[in-house]
Amino acid sequence: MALKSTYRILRFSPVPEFLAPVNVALVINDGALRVHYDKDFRRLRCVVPDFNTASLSYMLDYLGSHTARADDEFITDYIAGQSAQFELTAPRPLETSQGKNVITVLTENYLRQLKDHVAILPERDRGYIESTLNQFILMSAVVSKDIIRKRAKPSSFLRSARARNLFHGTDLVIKRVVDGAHGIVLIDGIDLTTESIAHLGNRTASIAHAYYMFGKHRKELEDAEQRRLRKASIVFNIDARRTNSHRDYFVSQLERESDLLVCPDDATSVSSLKSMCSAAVGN
Amino acid sequence: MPAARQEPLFPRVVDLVERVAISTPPRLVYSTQPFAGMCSDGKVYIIKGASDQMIVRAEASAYVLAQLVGVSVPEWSFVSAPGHADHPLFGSRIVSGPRDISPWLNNDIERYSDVLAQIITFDMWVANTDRNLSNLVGRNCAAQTDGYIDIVAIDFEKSVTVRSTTPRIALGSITPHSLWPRELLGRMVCGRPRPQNDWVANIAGNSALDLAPALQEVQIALSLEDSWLTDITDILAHRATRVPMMVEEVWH
Repeated sequence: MALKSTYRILRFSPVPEFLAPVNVALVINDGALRVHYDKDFRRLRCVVPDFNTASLSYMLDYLGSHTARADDEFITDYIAGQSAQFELTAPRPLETSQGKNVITVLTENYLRQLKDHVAILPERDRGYIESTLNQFILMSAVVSKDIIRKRAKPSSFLRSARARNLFHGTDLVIKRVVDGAHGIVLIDGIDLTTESIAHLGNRTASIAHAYYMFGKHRKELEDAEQRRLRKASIVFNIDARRTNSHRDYFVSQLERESDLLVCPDDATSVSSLKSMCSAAVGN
Repeated sequence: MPAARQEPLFPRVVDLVERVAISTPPRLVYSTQPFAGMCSDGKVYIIKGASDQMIVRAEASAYVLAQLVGVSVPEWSFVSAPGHADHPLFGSRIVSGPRDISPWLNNDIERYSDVLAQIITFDMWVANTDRNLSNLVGRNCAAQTDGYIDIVAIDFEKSVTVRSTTPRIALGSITPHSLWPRELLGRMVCGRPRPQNDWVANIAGNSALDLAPALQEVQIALSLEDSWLTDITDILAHRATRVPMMVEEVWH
């Protein structure tokens, strides 16, 4: 009986405690067992854009060099005995009858192709949420873009040394800050339609942490700056929270740490943001 | 007794801001039950010692000693957490890189045998009874485009000198050979060159006075008595003088 050709998808997580594994390679068995991967690692770079893939390539090359035996059980046992960062799917039949380059098709489908809004990410990179945020703020905030700081560290908008010292040694970055004469408004946000829950969770934790730190030092900061501090979180596509407990939790995290939660579709919260920004400027 | 304490040290302590859910996929083995937390310095730590202060003491002591002599360990801190007012916990950062370094050791053991010998020697000094492949991880080198890694040592909670409440007694029953790495790692490094003499001297030359400043950070953070500092520096200093002999015995 002829041996059926199979393929398996090899998934990898840079941090298995926090990040779900992502497709990185194909393990093909069509008489010879081999590992096939795309060095662009497009899907992995969506989750961790600046991940150093050199060591991953090294591991995959090593795996490929140890799969000379045409035995699916070997590769399963090998992966099972190795790092917790890898995960292997069950074998799937490899159809070779269509006359196409099957490996090319599989590579495109499982390693390179990205869904619509996720496909945007490699081109916009981390700017996707940022461009959406930027557009919304400029349309809604009724303040001059000259006083909106982008990707701002505390040292870039805190004027007094005493206030800056409160955040010395931290690496906090806020996507947008309204740096007004009478107040400071921190503005950041998430999009609940982001496909990767892990990515969304990391983003939320980052914002929540930064807002917590500012909240912790609010009184001292306001005393030192003689300006009022306000924290606003924007949640795009908030309806998606109802479909998933994780997304709901992320929204509640931001609600807890923010002075104002803004939904672009909610006129009341948008109006509140406008008022907040106007007050910061002194209008 | 070490010389009069120097100006008070301020141990590195961060506040736990929020627990972060972690998943435990198969083959991800933790010897204790750590949790993860976002802390006040904006970083996420894997946190240990909630149930046992000795774990905090052992890990922190070993980490300061490792940094003192030049063994690579992860970034770490004491973590002040709600519900644990009696003692801070121990937090270490996740190292960015491969968890399983066996491909690198299998492919190019010569490249890594020096650093492995250093780690083994350090483990002998602190009497770490649990060195194996799962507590060595790889760190991606930004400058390396060929995929080579740095090796980082983690998990020192079973180091007898700093974990045991009666180390002088416990050490008496531990032979140098019993501190050789276990399982596959032990086989991989068997027959490899011994550590360089200057590395051995780097450890052997540590007196109680040399060790006291580093371990004071642990003493202050955990509110330990002066007698603890006196004892531990004496034990480690004495053991340090025996490291050359242990190296000779094991690598012979």
